[in-house]
Amino acid sequence: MRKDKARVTGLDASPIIHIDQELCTGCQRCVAICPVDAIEGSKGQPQTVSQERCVACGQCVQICSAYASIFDDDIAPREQKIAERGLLPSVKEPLFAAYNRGDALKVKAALTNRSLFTMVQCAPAVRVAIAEEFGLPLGSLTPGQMAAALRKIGFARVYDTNFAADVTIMEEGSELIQRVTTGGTLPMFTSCCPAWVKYVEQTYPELISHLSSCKSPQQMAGVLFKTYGAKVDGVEPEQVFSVSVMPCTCKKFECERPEMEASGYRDVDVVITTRELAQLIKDAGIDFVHLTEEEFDKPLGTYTGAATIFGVTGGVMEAALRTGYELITKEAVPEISMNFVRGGEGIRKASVKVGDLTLKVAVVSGLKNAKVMMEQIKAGKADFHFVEVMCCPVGCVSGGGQPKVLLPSDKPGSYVSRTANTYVHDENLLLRKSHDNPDVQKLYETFLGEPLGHESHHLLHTHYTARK
Amino acid sequence: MSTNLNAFIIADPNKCIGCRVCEVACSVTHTEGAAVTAGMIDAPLIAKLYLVKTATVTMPIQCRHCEDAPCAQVCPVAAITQTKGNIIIDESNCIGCKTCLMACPFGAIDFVPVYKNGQIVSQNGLQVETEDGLTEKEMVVASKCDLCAGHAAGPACVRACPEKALEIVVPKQEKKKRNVDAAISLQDAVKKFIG
Amino acid sequence: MELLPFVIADKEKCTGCRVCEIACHSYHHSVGKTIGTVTRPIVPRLFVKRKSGGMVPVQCHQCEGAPCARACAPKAIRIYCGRIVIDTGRCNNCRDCIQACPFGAINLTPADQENPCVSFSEAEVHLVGNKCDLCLGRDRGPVCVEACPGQALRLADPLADKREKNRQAAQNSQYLYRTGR
Repeated sequence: MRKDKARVTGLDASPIIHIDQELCTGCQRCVAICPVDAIEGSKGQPQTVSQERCVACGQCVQICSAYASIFDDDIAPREQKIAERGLLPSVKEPLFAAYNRGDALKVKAALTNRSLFTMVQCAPAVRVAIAEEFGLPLGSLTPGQMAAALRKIGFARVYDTNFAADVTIMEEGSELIQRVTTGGTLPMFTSCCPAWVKYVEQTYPELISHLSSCKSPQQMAGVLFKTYGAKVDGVEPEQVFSVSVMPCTCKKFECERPEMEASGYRDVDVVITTRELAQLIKDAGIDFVHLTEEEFDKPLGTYTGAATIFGVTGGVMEAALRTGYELITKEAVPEISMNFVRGGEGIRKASVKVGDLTLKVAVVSGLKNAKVMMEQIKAGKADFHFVEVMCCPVGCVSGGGQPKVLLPSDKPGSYVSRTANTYVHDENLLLRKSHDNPDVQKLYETFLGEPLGHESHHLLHTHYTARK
Repeated sequence: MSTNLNAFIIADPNKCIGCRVCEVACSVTHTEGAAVTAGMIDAPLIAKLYLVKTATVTMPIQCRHCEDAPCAQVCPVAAITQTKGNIIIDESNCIGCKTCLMACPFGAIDFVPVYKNGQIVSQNGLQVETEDGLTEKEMVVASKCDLCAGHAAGPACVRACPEKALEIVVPKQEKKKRNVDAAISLQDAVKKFIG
Repeated sequence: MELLPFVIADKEKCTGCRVCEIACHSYHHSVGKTIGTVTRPIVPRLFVKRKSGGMVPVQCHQCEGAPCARACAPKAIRIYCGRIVIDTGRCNNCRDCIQACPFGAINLTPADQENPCVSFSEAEVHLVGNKCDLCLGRDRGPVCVEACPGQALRLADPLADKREKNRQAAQNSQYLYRTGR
């Protein structure tokens, strides 16, 4: 466990979550929803974010309704705020007090830089929400149009986070089996949610060893872009500009973590949110709604249903079980769709018979519920092998970077639709188990060797830092 | 600092029989023409005090002429002022915004149409659009008990009540009277026990 | 005799979050469900204002003797379906109604709702009067009342409120003469 404080980046270096002091009305709806009590201030006065405590989950950004009105004459001009927030000047939507740092300008610049070979990945949750920014119903599933739009903006390779999610399952599934069979630290926690990881680092550093050593799919994709991907596409790694589109604001923090440079370069150069991608698409004048669907590029854009369900709570667990079951018993899992791990905000527990082993698993969504779980572990009362933790209410589809719903009454419906369509996508894909992904198999055969092998360890696994 | 508290009218719920003569008297007194018989009344009766009849209580409710009158405080056009111990609404300035109605905790303010010679008065401005076209909207203004200011005989409701349930309360006098009554009653009590 | 109802706010419950303004805008303009679909400035018909330590939304009182209507030369302001509305077709943006309203409930906004614009430059855009119309056409009534997360807004029926207060006052007065005179 490295304690090299000099290299630990907090969010103070380049804060991701901000509250505009001119716009904040002190209504404190953000205070109520912040899972780590990182927002401070008196009622009726502008609030501030404690960057030390903040895990950049962006739920405050989603809930904030204090907008900059054209009738407010005591605030800075819109152009100034747009510039301060790193937004494209063409953005027309209203600005709110709580906002995340904007990085779309960096992406736009990279796309016009001919010396760069741009590769992009989108998280599973993006494809069930981005169409909302163009007026389509909440939760509309539009992966084909999303891929087409990315190509039209100018990305050289439209790859996908889901490919890396399949790889994550291979690595994490193997890691779990190893811990279970060799007496490793249990329960093992998922590590793909960066807000959850930061939370463990700053609140329960003594339990860091419980986190899976696997990187998140975003980071695995990034490092593969600049190694395997560069090789396959015949470009120099230093030419590759690696962009990630996420439903999450904390992923901006994750890509800036000092250790995320196993490729020899920044594995992920820029992270933008679903909203920022929509803004880029509008900025380019693309008519998203009428685009013809296109496919993702191979090999790093091939994915299975197991990967795409990462976007909802219980999805990582279900994907892991689909593969883990087969890895252990050498037989196909009886029922691919596992309703017992699906659900909403809260803690769900299950016991799964996998051969001779009864695997005890738990799924937690909502960071406040994770605290409950951590206390149980400390008290020695958590009898689990594997726990999935997601910070946001129903998983990534409800993330801080997703399209911001106008009316509070529409929020629950947005969660329901995005979740439902994620499972619809999974059901309609030919391949639904990570280990069946032929391009993942090829990756191992030709490049990585085996899960948890030397190459994997170097590129796809990571370590964490106590932040207390 | 010696200030006089505003007088107001209040009913004794134990005496009120719910006959509504107070409302009739109020309405007649505030209408030009001084009708003497019912047949002389050519417009709806509109009173400035309001009979309340529930299962448990029957009595009229009217303005208390509050010292810190909330109606006066909220009126956006300053149509409600205190004049000679009386909270008065200047109907000619009233825009009918109903803020005073919402502000009064007793519901003592009502909004009423204005009648002249038996005809309802229309306002010169606001019109109502219906399927049949545009019609005039009646003039509607705030109305409340004004202690019959301008009427030499004083509050009509008090005089009219057959049960003498209504009285004008002059707060400082009433308080003094009760202080004296209490003192006398205490003196009697002490005498009885100590002698 | 009926009095025009209007939306009133409870100052104790209002936190100043502005969801009411956003909801108002979303009903009166064609927007999708997400912020990203909003292409013009939010122009609400009720305004959340800071007032002596608290926040409270201010909007049209649907005045019985509406001074805005009295002031309007082209007679563009009238009662329609139990609320005071501005006929934007007749509005000549003279601003007399804005001067007349003691609550500041009327605003000038672009008439053309399809043409997105980020800032108003009066030379380019045709402006008309704009004020709360209790969400004319909406079955469930004013959207701000529904949307407020703290239930601080309600559609008040002035006469019903007044009668309830009369009843309450009578109830309370029962105890005034308990001891008899």
